[in-house]
Amino acid sequence: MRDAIQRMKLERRIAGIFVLFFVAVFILIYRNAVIAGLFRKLASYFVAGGVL
Amino acid sequence: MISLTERIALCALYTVALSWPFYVLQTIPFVFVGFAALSVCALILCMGVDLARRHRFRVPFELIWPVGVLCLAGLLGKFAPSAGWFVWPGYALGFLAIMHWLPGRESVLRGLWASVLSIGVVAVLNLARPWLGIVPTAFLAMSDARFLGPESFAESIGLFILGCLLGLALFQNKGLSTAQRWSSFVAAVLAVAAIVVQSPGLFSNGAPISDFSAGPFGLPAFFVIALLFWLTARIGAKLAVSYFEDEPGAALALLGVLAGGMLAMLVMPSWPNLGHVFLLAAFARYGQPAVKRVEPSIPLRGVAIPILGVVAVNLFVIFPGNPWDPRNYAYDAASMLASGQVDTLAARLEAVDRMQQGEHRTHFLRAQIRLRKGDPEGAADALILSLAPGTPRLLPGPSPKETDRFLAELRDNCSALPEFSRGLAYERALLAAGQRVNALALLRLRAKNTGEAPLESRHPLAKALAAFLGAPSVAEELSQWESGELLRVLETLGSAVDRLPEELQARGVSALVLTAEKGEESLMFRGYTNADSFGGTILRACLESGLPHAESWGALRLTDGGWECRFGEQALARIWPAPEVFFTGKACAGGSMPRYQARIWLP
Repeated sequence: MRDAIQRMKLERRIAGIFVLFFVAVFILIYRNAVIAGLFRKLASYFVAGGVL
Repeated sequence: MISLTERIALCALYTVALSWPFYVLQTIPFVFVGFAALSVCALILCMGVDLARRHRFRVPFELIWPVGVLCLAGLLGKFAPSAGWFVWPGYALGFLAIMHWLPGRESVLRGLWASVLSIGVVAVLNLARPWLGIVPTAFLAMSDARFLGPESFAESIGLFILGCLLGLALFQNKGLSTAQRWSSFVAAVLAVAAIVVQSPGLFSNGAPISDFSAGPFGLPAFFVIALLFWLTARIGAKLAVSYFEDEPGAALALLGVLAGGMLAMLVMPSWPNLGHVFLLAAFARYGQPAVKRVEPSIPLRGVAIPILGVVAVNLFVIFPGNPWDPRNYAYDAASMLASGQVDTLAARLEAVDRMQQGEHRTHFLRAQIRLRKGDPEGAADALILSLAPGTPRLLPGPSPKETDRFLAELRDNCSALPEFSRGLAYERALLAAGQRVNALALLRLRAKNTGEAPLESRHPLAKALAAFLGAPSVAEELSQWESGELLRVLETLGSAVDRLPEELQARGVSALVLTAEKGEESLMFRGYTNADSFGGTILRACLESGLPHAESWGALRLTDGGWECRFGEQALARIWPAPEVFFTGKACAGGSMPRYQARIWLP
């Protein structure tokens, strides 16, 4: 049982490193589109909510 | 002894493994659903039956929750441009079902080997395609590259990269037989060859290899992509831990394939498909702690034969009802026209024309585009090309019913225009559709006899009108009309009438018609007298300035050599003694110029 939990923790740590790597590469390649896409949408939410 | 449910599930499992690399070629004719999609449905059903019977799910929770969220996200909204509501939930349930039914590591390697073999077959088909005369499924207007199987360049390159990586991963694995390892190696080499052969075309004309323009760059699609990254990373982590903790086996090689595949997907993105779902589920199963047991199996031959049969049919037959086959370009055209995506459709038609010259159906669709853009004359030109005799290549030309429907649309469009800008689009289209009587009757409605033209002018006027109609054969019939009627029709098309100099009449010329017609690529000058016809064409590509309207063409004048008329700076018509047209090498760009112009000299 302890082995299974240890294994799970190890998996999570490695997965965290992998996902950071994938997201970094994704943002690096599509930085302009990602930033524009995310912020335009966020800004529209704020406008719709009356914040901006 | 394995149960019937398990047997069906295994059969479906290997069907997915063998069929997904064929992409559109594995679509079952008349049903128009792929083998892979059908098999995944069967696997999901079998999983439901198994869960109801045994209450035991063979997928760990850390993989269930991201898949469950993806399923919900798919149900709540569409993330891929062409995806229906069922696609993401289908992928999510398919992942769970494939992972649930994959018995163990041995079966994973066997399934991956089956996929690599299929990728090898697709690579061979791609390499042999030019010699076999098979129409490709992935093509672009700007590019010389062509692929057979997947729908897009990105998917094609991704498929062969996966084939190469998987082939090499299996080749170095000692758990497979020698024949399996070497066949994987050969498939990997073929996959590389399939990309290398197309690489010059891929980068010609700056060809875009990505079709991710409507990508997931906003919210909430970005969360879904991040979740997909997490799922992939978690599966990668399972393989890494499995390499360190269990028997290493192929875990490290599969981790390499996963990382390579992900990087390829990031650089040349395409939306996930059932093949990717299968590979992810297979990698996830391999990353689970190994259990020593005899894994149930079925012979691959029985599964492969029907798939290869369907692929063979789809290679040479394009079914008009098949919505998945990009070669069936007419399927999406109606929705593209309805949604106003005319430029996208025009680019696609251009790609089809580039790939398969002499295709009639593209002209029919182009006619509809031009009519939507308010160009009835251009629409008629395209319809005439689509009705020209010839053998259909990819899709049949327009049926009589479709032609009639289009003619009705063209009629409504033309009749909404004022008489003097109506042109001859509808009449020319009717003539091309074989409705000669209707065309001439309609034309005669415009012809109110003014009684101003002499009898001798009938032949040159009829020839000029027949030439405008694009049907010289109707000249004889038109010459039976009153010359006043013919004159009236030509006047509605934009003609100027002048008095024929008496000196020319003394030479035996009793009527003279000079015409200029703007075509798609050229400007055509023609001349008709009661005795002779002459003419010539100048390419619009080398034209510079606009051709003046018929009223302001040069006067008919007598020079040293004979009688002549000047068409602005562009052309000179010599009427006597030797009828002909000379060009000075520059003429109109045709932008604002009317399609038909005529100048008529009568006694």
